[in-house]
Amino acid sequence: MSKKEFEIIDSHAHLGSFSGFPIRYNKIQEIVNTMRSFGIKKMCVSHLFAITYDTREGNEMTQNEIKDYSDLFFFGGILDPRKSETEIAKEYYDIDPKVTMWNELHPAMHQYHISGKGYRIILDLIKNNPKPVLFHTDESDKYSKPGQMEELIKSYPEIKFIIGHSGNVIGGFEIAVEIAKKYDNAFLDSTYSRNYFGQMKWMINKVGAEKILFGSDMPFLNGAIQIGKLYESGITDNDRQKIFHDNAVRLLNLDSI
Amino acid sequence: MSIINKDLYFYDCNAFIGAHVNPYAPSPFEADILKSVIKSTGTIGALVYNSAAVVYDASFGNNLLIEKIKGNNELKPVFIAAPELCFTQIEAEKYYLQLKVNKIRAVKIFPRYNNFDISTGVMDRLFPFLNEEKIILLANQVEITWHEIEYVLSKFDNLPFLLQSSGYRLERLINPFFASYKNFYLDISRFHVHGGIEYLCREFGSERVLYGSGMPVFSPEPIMAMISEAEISPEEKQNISSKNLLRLISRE
Repeated sequence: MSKKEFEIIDSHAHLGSFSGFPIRYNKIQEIVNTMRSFGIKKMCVSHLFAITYDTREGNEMTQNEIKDYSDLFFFGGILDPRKSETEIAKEYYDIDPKVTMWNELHPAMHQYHISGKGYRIILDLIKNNPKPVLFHTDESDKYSKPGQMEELIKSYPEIKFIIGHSGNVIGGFEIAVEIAKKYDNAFLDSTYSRNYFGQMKWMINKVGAEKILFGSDMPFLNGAIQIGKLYESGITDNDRQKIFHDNAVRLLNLDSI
Repeated sequence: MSIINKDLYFYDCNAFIGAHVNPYAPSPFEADILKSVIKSTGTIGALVYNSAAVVYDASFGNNLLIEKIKGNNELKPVFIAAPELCFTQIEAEKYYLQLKVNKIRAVKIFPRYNNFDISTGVMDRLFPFLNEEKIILLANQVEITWHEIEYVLSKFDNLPFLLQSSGYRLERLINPFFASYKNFYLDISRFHVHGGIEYLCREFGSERVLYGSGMPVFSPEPIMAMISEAEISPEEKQNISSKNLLRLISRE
């Protein structure tokens, strides 16, 4: 891919395994090789162990795996809304200084509604040192409907929210787009597995390329697929520059790379 | 479009024209729209059916397809089959004659949408013709059970069965078919697996893995990018992009 066209910043990626299907080439050096091959300069990762099993141990695993690659990776922290307020606060204060963004808070895996009290506890902590928060959303899942994010986005204007997978399905995309249009602190995520013909161009036309962040969801999904959708007919180099790079630099307060 | 490897040429095994459910693309998706997308993505051709043959009437839709794509050599017709078209031997022979007259090299079935089960033998008067002529049988993963796939693969071992639109989480269900049946083929239009193409090529070879877009529901560029970027040889990439399909349909 002549990949050197854009300095890609990947704001939605992971490390580790998943029981539902085999994830290969997921060792840190293999991820680094893939990043280089795709032209991804920096990647925000969280560990799938933190999403599927335990946040405290999973967050430690993330930090251990990326510690020798600080030039390539950001630490994406995960918190579990089901834990007690005390436990959440302890985990938050343990990792917040090292976290670049909260990626990805996962109502579906944690089987906990976005509108539940646990997420308010988490966001009350985050708002004091606000960093972007990416929620997994999926209109087809009862816990992670994108519409449930609206109250949080409205209640915490100091936090920038990324609507993970942009609602993930037809119907969900429309809700996510309306929220992103309505609130300055709401953004969309380019990663989802159903790459509908014309959908990315439609999304850019609706909200503007300034409101969309690139995510690969690697190694959960194939990263080249996620890059490839930005090359649909009608999407400009200017749009790609914003989505692949500029928006993440702005949201994550990065020095340009 | 710089993301796609320009040394590759693509032939799409998974496209259709007509009405569809994707709100972000024009519907009906006419042959000239498909043709323009094919041209803009550097694709050399596509297998195509008419959705009217699925959602309205198979015979009517198949005939409409021939009319709609007339004069478009890039678009190769795919006929839809249903049990009533081959319920008797005479009907099966008549349908087969239609395939020959229209130079059809691929037949697609929608057992769930059209309410039949091939493991009951309801298509067994037609499949021997497809088997004899090595005409490709296509089915979307959500339209057919694993049991039905096993039925057709084991009973008609000369018939190339191409599983389409299979999701990225289903590898554990797909791999045993690759291992056990040489007539099992996979369209990777929805096989968005990290390192997935690499694994398939290493374990089973590149000859039974085929590029498909899923147009007009899904986009071609992401799949083209996945093939372009896969850590496999240029020969393997070309097999997947077009050569495997061209080999399968070349008996016309």
